[in-house]
Amino acid sequence: MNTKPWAIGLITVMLGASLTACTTKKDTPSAQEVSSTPKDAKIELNFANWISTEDATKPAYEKLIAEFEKTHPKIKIKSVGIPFAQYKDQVLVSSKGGNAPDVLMSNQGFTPAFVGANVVSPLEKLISADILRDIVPASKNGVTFNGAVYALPWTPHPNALFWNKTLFQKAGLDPNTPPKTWQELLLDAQKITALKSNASGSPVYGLGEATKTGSYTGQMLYRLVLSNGGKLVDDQGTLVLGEGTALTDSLNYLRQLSVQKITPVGAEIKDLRGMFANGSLGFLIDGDFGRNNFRTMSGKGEAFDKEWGVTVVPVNKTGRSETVFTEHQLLIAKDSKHADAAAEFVSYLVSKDALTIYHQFNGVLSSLTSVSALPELNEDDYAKVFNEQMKTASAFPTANPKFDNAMKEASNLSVLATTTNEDIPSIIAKVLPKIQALYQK
Amino acid sequence: MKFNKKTVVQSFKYGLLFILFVLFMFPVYWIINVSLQNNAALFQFPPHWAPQNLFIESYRMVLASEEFLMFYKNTFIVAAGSTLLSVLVSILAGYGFSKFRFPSMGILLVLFLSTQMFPAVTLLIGLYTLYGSLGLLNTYAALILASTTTALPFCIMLMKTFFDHISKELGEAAEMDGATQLGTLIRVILPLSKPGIMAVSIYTFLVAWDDFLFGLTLVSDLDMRTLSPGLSLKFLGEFSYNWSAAAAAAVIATVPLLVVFLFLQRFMVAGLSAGSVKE
Amino acid sequence: MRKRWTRRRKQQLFGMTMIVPAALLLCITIVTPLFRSIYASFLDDSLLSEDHAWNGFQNYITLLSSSEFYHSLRVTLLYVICVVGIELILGTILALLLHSQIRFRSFFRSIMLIPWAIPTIVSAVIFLVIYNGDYGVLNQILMTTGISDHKLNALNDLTLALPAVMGVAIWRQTPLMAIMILAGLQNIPASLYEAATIDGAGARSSFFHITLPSLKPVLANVALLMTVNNFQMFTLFYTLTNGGPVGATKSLAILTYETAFEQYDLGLGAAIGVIWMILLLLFSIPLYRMAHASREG
Repeated sequence: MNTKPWAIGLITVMLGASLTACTTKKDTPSAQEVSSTPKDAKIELNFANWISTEDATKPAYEKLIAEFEKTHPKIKIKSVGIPFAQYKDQVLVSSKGGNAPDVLMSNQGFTPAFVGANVVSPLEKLISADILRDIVPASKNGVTFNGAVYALPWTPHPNALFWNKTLFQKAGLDPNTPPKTWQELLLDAQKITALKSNASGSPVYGLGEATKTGSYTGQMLYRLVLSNGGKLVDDQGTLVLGEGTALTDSLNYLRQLSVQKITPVGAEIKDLRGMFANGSLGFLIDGDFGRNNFRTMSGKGEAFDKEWGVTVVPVNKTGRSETVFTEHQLLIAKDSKHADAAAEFVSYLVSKDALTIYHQFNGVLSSLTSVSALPELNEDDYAKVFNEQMKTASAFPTANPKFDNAMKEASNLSVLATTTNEDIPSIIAKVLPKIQALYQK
Repeated sequence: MKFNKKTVVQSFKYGLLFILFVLFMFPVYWIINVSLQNNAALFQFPPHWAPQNLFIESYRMVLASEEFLMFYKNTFIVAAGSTLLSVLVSILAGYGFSKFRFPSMGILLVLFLSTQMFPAVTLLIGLYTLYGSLGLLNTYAALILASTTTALPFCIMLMKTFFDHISKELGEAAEMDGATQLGTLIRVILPLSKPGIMAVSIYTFLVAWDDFLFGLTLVSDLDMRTLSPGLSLKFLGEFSYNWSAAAAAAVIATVPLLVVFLFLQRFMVAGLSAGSVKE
Repeated sequence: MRKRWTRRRKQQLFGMTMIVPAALLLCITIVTPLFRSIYASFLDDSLLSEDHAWNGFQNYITLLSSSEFYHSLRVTLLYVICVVGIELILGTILALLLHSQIRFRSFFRSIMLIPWAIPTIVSAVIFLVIYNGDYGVLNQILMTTGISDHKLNALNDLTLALPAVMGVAIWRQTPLMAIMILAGLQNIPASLYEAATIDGAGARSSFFHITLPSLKPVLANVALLMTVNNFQMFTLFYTLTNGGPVGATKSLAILTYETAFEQYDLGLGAAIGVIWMILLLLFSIPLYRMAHASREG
């Protein structure tokens, strides 16, 4: 009898349905994939990134864009700033929503997702072969998916060993002689830990390792596994993490660090950086951005440079300085209507000119062999150390798009090893199957 | 003896209020504390309860930042717009549900609320596509609509509850005097619902104010960015967080709101006028 | 024959017209993506492939037989029940205090809203600082008052992580609850209390026989609101613990996020959403009745 409410309900459903139909029609991406640049109009490229608004990288970014627009008057760059923590998700959403940015900044964790979701173009047709050949060998694999290069490595960030000279002195160590082997590192760290607290009463730790749940902690565990002679996956992409003793050794090492209070437990890398900048940490393995970070976070600016040194990571079981590098990369969207202009922009950003500018501001390295050998990028000991470290730094095995998730699961190994007393084999037995599930073909 | 009991009760009240006040204001105090120290001071133990060296750089930096002012302006516009839209629509709908009962009304109301019972994260791509096809990406309209949608179901329920409490006889009396149904609503019912309207306004305003996900997803132009995604973009970076600046920005953002709340308190008129008759 | 526009019919039509703007708004802004998602829950909808084949209830079967799902469900229910429960109690106490005759009442009422007014993302970051295992002020307080003899890293502790997150949520949300309940208190006619006093009722009796029953609709309303909102709580969990340590705070919201954006399985994520919606609908019906029982059709 009272049909009116049902009528409203029906209308609602109809409206919803009609809108569904409406939007489905509109969101099919344009058929054009590679278009020729129109001779008259200015082309606007959308450049998705996270460095355009952060204080540390903003000046460099603005200079780079200004230089490019000066030498390429027909192209205008529009920055699409996305916070780093939400970057991958937001790019996926906008790309799937039909609005991919033309050029994307990325890193080794995001790229597999973008490639897997099919939102980016292979670069062979867009970037000159010279540049592609010039990519540093260590990076080449990480950006090659199914035989094609999908991302252009831009700035690698190899992780080297930072040590605090002031704490060295206090602990009776020679501030200019950093450890060369893993054993020496452990001994030095123990001596620094014995200091207990620094001048202002804050606790002092010998060595900082990330041990809070999260992808980064897993990546650092991977670094330890590498130095113990292990691997995450073999050449076919099968998970081999559980084979051999590398994982067990790494977890035992972390447990030892936490039991002996050599490392803070449950800290994430941002905390560790803050602690190093505060003179509370003897050693930190971190990337080349460290110098700028420590200058700001210590509040002492360039004066803080005197208090620390950096060297290659000590040698462990493999006989060489084993470490990882993270990497900023550049990608071009598949649906970009200005692929050629986008390619010009990307080629510029990795060029000698751009890198020299970027290096002046932020001390970055280059992922192109020829550029990284330039004297401008090797002007001081700091740059030399990192270029040296890059020679033995390993890329992350990112062929699997679920790599990021796998690293987050792997971090549970570190967390359990450092916060519980469970024996290591049972921790591995508990967590490894979850990682395995992500690598099932 | 009566005097004694009253003082005991009053002191108990003040005591309880004081404890709750301390509990709720402590983190706020800490935010102010952090904002006035530089980041290096955060890595010391014991922590400083008051800044040893007053550090106003963060405030200076945030106040001088054009971007921050832009984020702030945008958020204000979106929040105000959402509040207006939400109040308007929820008054109408709440009144409709309250005064004019029909079967399956409950189902409809719960259906409204059910739009909030789905993880927002899975809707992101759909919402992005929807607003994109409406041409509303990077507009205030998108954010206003999104926040209103979030707040609306509850606002409707709240207004309905408030209207329920206002006796039917009042409305009928007005109608006897020849007022239209809409007129009754405006002239008789609304003035008595001020606390409800206030509650709905504050709720919607703060939902829009605090919005992170929609502002992040539906807007990518820097000059249309709102507060939460904007602060995240500027201060919560890849390598480190600028805790001091984020805290300073939060303080600067909240103070004007405080002033507004203080002003609005006057409109939270206590109780109903003598005209209301109990059920 | 049905052309008699009875007064009641006219009123009903008016009532429904009043509701149309709201229905339209919701229709345009959220119903479409919602339906699409629900539809996607029956597909093999992965971000990694273009082939979205129908797979019936496979996603649901996968979910309902996965221990991970039940774990997240348990975490979420525990979180929501504790948070909403404590907020109701604290919120009512606070509302009563702010309703009574105290000095500086306006001042207290306005500053009490500050926790809700501070952007969640900043609050989360500041609580990271407060909860910090090595430098956090919470540890200092706990150690100075003797509650703990060593530093706790609350957010990295398997048992303390969830309570730590709950604490932040309660801090943020209680003021809002209090304001809503306060508005409800102000709606209770003073005449009721006057009549009761004349009949010789004391304060406690007034509270239990007048205040609470009159507040029931408002309390049910805010309980419903907070339950629905807290199921959705993402920012706090993501920023404070990211679902850790070892999944101790992996709520359904985090699980959905991981499924959709780290496992790239939108179909499975949508299925979680549907189950979540069904759960909340079941839960909201009794609460709704409580809120609106007085004058059902």
